[in-house]
Amino acid sequence: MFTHYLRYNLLTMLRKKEVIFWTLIFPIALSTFMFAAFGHVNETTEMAKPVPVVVINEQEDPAFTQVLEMVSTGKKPLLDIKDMSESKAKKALKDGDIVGIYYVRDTITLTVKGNELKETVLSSFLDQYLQRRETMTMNDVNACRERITSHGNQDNLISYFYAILAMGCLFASFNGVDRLQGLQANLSTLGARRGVAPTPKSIIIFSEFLAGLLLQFTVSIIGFLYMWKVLGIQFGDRTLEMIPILFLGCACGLSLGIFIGALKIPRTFGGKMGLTVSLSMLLSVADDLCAPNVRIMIEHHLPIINRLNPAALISDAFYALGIYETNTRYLTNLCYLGGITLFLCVASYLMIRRNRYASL
Amino acid sequence: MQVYKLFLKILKSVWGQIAVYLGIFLGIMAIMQTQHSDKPDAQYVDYKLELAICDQDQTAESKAFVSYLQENSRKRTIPDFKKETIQDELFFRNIDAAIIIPKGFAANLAKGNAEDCVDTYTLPGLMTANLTKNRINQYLATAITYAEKGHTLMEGMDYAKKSASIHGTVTYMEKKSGGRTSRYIFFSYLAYVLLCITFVSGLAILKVFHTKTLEDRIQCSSYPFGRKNLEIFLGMLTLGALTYVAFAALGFIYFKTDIFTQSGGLLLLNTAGYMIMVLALTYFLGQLVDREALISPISNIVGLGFSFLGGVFVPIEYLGKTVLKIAHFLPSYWYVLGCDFADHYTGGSILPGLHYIGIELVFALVFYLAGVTALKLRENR
Repeated sequence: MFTHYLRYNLLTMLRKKEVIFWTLIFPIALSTFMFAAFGHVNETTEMAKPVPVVVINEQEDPAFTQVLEMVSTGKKPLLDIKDMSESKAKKALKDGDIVGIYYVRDTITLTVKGNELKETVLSSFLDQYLQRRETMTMNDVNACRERITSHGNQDNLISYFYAILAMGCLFASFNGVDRLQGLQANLSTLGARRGVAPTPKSIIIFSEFLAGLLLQFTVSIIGFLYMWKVLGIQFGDRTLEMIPILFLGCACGLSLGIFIGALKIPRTFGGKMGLTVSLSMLLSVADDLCAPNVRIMIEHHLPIINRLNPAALISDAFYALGIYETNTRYLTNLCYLGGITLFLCVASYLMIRRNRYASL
Repeated sequence: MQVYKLFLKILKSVWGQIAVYLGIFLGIMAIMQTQHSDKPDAQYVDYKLELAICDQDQTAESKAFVSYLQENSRKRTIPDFKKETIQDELFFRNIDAAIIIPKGFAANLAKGNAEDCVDTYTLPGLMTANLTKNRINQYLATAITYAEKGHTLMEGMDYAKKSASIHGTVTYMEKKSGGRTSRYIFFSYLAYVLLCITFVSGLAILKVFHTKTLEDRIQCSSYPFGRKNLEIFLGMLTLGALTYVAFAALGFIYFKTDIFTQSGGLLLLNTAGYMIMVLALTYFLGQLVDREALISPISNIVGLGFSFLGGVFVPIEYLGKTVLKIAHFLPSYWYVLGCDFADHYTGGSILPGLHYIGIELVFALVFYLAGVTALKLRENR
């Protein structure tokens, strides 16, 4: 009986195209768009690479020429000096092919287009040259004792992909609401039929939950594999340990949907779905889905929200695996997720148990 | 005008969904307003490093060093200087570096030993890491040079601070920086919002008109086919005009008289071109959508696809070469180029701006023709 229910529940869910769209297609499409748009942004904007620049020598400055040669050669060159005429350099600067033009006249000046990091590298180099020339400083010191802080992927844009995975898990709640719709006699004819069926309720409920979990977990794994293998997102070396996060995340999402489905208000299916969509989007936005610093901002001001937000817990567990060598934070997040799931399941059970209807 | 009246009636019923997108847009604007200036900088200003500094030495020298660091950077306060906290702050780019000045800093420097005298936490390989270290090294090297010449360390630090105020002349190649203003952000984000609003309302309305029973009833009535389509077309125009006017008014509320400049006029004209394209695209998709369940997925996929790949959510210069090639086939890309041109327009020829609007209108024509073809095919079926 149980396997029969499980099988047919799975078949029913697979035919719910809207649920499949939101839990599988949408996260895949969103991750593809995000990857295409800013998958390599940090490489362009943050990584220390030689900055392309043109030097227009209107006057000779042998010291500056010598320094330029020093910083544009060697193992880690600071500048990539391009050789071109002034007019071509201006066009290249406008087109973004170079970042600046040094004009060597009585004084050395720099012309740039914007004021981002690369321009600051050029202006800082010029400042340092002028300062050293002024103070005749010949000393070179290495005052900074570098503390290697972490391993793993330090590209903060990966938090968007963690957030998408968390959002996918939370979208399992759509399935949860849908499942409960078919269980409650006052909400659907299917629920009424099931209410009078001789099959024990526990078998129906458990098979529904397990089928939902199996489907959502599979869908999440597909989404994860797509990001990892197809898009090539660097999730780090501990990918196997990410599977429990997805499993618990889906269980949490599903139980959130069941909880909303069990609520007395809103009464209609549309209202419950509306609440589910709004809540899951709100939780996802609070977990860096739209901007990369929301979660840490909440952590600074109201950390309790991050402990209660399943999306933030899922992302933080991924983050902890990617960055830290210890498991403490990862396991803490999993415990919180498990606790929330358990609470939602128990609360839902208490709300729907022994329901009696005066009339249907 | 029964069909037109029905159009408006259905439009009224989807007001809630329009309000949701309006709310999203206003939320985005509220965040963006805090991150972008109203006007592009006329004078060059360096990127300010975000530093969290912990002075454990608490000597006059260490305080002078902290004062130098803070003068050239933005001071950031973090909850504590534990390794895990610093890692979080660095990862989320809340800080560019954490600097700990250990006990014995001044004593070591006084002995002329500046090697490894400061603990720095940075993300290796980033430009910010190099800039931080360069500034520290430069300052301390100068201070020690003076100390070696017979000055005290404090005097050396004073000289180092003075010399740090020597800056080269940096100018913009154009009158103002290529930076983005909040006005630009407002208009470029409209590419996403206009699309979503028109889709959720326009597609929902067109779907109703394509309901078999309603379509059959209208077809067997005395209402001519051409008139029905004309009224639907008028309804679409009304929807476009209402949305456009609403956002133009919002633009006026946000930017006041800035909208009535040449540049503001170009931005409004560019948005009008894009709005026409969006209406044509809605009309085309409206001929294909036959189930309400499809409206939201289509709105989201097309809206997000146009925005991410067209340079709305991410500046065009950050897009990869392949994405940029794809972007040329998206009207949102030309719209964003139009916004960029209009926002930086200070005078001269407006031909490039008109060129972008022209391309948007070509897209509109293509979508409209595709819509008419789809309609004919459906009618024949």
